[in-house]
Amino acid sequence: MKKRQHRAWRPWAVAAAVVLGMVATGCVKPRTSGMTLGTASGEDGSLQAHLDVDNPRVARMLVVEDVHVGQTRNGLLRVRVRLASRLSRTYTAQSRFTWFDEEGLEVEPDGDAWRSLVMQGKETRTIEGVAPNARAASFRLQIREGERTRWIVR
Amino acid sequence: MKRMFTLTIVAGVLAMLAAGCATTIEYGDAQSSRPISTDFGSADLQRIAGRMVDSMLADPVLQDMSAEDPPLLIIDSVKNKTMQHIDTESVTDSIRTKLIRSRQFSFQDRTTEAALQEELAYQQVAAGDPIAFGQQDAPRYMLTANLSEIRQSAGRVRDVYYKFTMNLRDLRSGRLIWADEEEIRKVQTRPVMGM
Repeated sequence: MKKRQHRAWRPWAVAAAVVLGMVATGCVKPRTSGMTLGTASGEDGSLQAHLDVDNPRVARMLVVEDVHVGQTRNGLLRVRVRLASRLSRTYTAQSRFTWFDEEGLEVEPDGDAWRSLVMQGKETRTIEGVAPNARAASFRLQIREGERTRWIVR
Repeated sequence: MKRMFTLTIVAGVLAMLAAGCATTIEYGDAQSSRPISTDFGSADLQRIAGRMVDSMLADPVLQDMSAEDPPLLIIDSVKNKTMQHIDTESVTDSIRTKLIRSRQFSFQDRTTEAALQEELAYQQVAAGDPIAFGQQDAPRYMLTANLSEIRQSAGRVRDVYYKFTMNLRDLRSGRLIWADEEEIRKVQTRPVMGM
């Protein structure tokens, strides 16, 4: 009986060792999905905000408290999003705005880079984005976990 | 049981060697904000450029200024007050490109002045309808910028603080009509043991 038990856990132990080894050396790619806040036109033509969560871990850390969509005097779309941290410790995230015209096509693709967002414990912070030009009619805000570099051997 | 334990250790070590010792080459995300070191990096450049452009586009005074016709600006090179060699022209290039593409501001470029002079001189002798010297519009506003850093190290922690300050000056009145700054802090913590 004892021999059978040893054979049963052997593959699991080897697989766990392999995975642990790969994780320790940074082989596993970081999870880059997060949550996406966007707007879509409702039935009455007004903009409705919606939140899609692809990585529940990010949604557990941060909560979107308020979204304000307005325009500058020159007709550029201006978005303010108030985020609050649910954690008591510091949490590093990153955010990026993407802009779309009235036909839903992306305005200035790859125009905005990921910006790091360091949230202190229980902190509330407003992030702001201004559309790159007057063609933008709606937006998408992506929020994901912050990236960091760990050198095992340098 | 002992043999099993040895096999597991060997598998783990082999996995670490296979994953950690292999050199990898791949395309990365040009928009990534992953910090590689505390030195000034591409993500810092993109963050500064994005923040300055957003601030200029959202400023009510500048919006009134560009309501009828995009004002003509000239951008001065960034004064690099850091200890690093940074291609600061790349920062101003990014800011200028984004502002031009917003159609809210127009620019003159003094970095290509020698080529411009050469072209105009050539036109005087070779072209049937040359552009005469002295026909350019005079910029009304000038963008100036400083990049400074403060480095601190104590124990295992290295802390680098960057501050980018940008001003827009009205050349007629001499007044600064817009200013903003962006701060970046990068912290490196070394392990208790090792390098």
